[in-house]
Amino acid sequence: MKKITSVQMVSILICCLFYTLMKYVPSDDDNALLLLCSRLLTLGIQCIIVIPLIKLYGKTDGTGVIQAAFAKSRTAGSAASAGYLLFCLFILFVTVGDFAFFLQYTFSSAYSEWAVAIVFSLAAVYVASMGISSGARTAVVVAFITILGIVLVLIGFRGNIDFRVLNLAVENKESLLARGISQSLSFSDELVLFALLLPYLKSKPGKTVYSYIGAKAVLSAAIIISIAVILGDFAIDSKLPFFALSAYSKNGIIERFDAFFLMFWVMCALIKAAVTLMCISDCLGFLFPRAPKKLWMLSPVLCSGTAVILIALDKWSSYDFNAFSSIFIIILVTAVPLLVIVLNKRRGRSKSGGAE
Amino acid sequence: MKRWFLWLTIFALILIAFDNRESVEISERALVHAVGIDQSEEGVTVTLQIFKAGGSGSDTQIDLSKPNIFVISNTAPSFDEAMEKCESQMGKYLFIGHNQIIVLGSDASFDDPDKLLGYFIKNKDNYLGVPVVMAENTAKEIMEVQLTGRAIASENFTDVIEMYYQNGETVFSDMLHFINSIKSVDKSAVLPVVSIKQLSAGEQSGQSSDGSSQSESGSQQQSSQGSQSGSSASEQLITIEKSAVIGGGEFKGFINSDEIKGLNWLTDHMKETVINIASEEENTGVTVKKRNVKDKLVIRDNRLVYTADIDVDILTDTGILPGIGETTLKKLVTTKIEQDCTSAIDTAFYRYNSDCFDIAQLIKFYYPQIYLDYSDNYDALKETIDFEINVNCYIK
Repeated sequence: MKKITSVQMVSILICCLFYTLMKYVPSDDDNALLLLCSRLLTLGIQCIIVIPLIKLYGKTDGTGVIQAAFAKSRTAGSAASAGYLLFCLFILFVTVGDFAFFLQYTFSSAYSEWAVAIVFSLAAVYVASMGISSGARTAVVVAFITILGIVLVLIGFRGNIDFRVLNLAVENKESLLARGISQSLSFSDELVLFALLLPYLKSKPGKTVYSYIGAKAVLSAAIIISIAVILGDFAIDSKLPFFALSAYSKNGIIERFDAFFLMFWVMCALIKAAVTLMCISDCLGFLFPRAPKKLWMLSPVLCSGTAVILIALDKWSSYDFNAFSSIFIIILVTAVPLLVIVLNKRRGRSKSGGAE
Repeated sequence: MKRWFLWLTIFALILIAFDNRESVEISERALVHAVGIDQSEEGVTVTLQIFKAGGSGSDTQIDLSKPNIFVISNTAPSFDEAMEKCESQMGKYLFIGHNQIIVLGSDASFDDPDKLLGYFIKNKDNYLGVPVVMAENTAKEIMEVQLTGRAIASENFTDVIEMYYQNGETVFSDMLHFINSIKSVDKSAVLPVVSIKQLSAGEQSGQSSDGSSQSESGSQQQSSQGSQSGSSASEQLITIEKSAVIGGGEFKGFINSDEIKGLNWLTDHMKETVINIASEEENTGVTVKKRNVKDKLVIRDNRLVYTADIDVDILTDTGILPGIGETTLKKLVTTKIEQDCTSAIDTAFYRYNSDCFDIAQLIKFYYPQIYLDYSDNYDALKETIDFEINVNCYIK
């Protein structure tokens, strides 16, 4: 199995994060400061919920959650792989659907959603078929130029920065904070991908995931603060605040950055979809070892088809697909690895006759 | 596998390219350079400056000897309908992404910003940094002015506004800033007021002898206008001498150039300006540059006190100002800036009852609970606000 470095893993996760951050749609009663606090608190929670994953990596010598579950029993392994597979299909469905939906909003409504979904899925399948090491190398380049582009976007605007727009003048602070934490956790589906990609990591899972969470804190804070202080209350009115920020930003050479936004967004979406496809491929391999190896290629057809039908019926924006994601993320990132550790410990004890 | 996959992707892209029947070619688009909006009992009058390529004989489509724009105007019950009429009459799709300026007529209604600028807010091509200004009379009148010096009038327009702003002589008003201001709790905003200045024959000849750049622009003006709309148009200039104050979603009145400077100092939009100081029977222009502006809100004797500490550098050499010592110069500049700020506060805040200093934002930050308690009755809270201005000058 080809392995990837910590930097490559962090880059993959950053690409997934950017894709999520760029498609953030604010609520009418959002408050930037509370949103920022909720994001930072969620990152604290994430630092805790990934501990079982890191422990499991150490105990199983980097074999991964599903393999460790299969080592215990075939039923446990099948259940784990089925759970991860379903969530990965959900990630792919939301990724392709959001991409087609927002591309129409930001770029051109002249392109039909199915056309966008087909081309995007083909590209994602191609990147996924190249293997994890190629995808990871691409992710490093994409993450680097995306960060560079965001810095350009953030420095290229007119007017004064006044950090005093970050205020607490809202009713129901506690409920807004709680909602923010739940939302932020719901948008952290890249942690599930991290759980599935762990066997590909060369070493140091703890250092890798905490580096990522640190980078996530900095990037999320920078983007939320920038949107709040530059766009002000207009951020609530805009459908995609980050896109509005890019369209507002300009410098002496580039008139506006919305095309940049699209470029970063497409590349980050591609990395996320490709990595998800790799995870789907692995899950299918565990679940159906005798099935054809290219079975995973059907998953984009299934996910894109469903997403495009919903978009065509004008139903895409009426559903909150991430409403219950946080529960599944906690189950797949914390509960399942914890259960596998506990089961392995028990087996170890029973094998040694409880002599421990 | 890789090769057939590549072919499949290419084939899909070709199919999509053929499928895209709604695509609009560049030749089917009309590039909007400036938009004027007037409101009357008949509805909304939209006046557009459209880029017109007509460079016969030249290397590019832009012919510098002609104003490469034409003006189209339509009236309809709503803004969107008026735009649609313009589109139909031209037989081209309007492209708003290159728009340089939005001019609102003096009779525009500001109570519903979404209705006023909704077309621009929802149009993803629109640039949020486009300047929004108010016409002294009608926007249509401003749109039809043929400006000097450039082939495209609206480009000159934005240069004029930018230069006024850089010199501290007008307020900062791009679309994003304007929408945020007009949607604030007090629905207050300030807009630069654009008016047409008719140059007399004497002034024109005076300008020609003033310097080479002026005469050059004059000659371009003559050539461009001569072919377009007669010689009278060449005598027009765009000026910004006052700003319009909007409070509670309606137009309240104007503030003059000194008050604009005061407003710019207080809102930290002043970079550098020339201020006029009166000393011993003569007026002297002094260049001052912002060093630092700090404003905050404190509670003193059960009243909210807005304090602004303005530090400025005086760039004018005292050596060329005989009879004025450094101390006197500092005192005169301090007095003048304080006067401008006080005058801006008196007119905009007290007379027009408009929170164009965005004190609501400061209350939200420093005293959020007070803001929440008074959010339904902000006018009552405004009555408890006092101002304290401190100016410090440094000679540089």
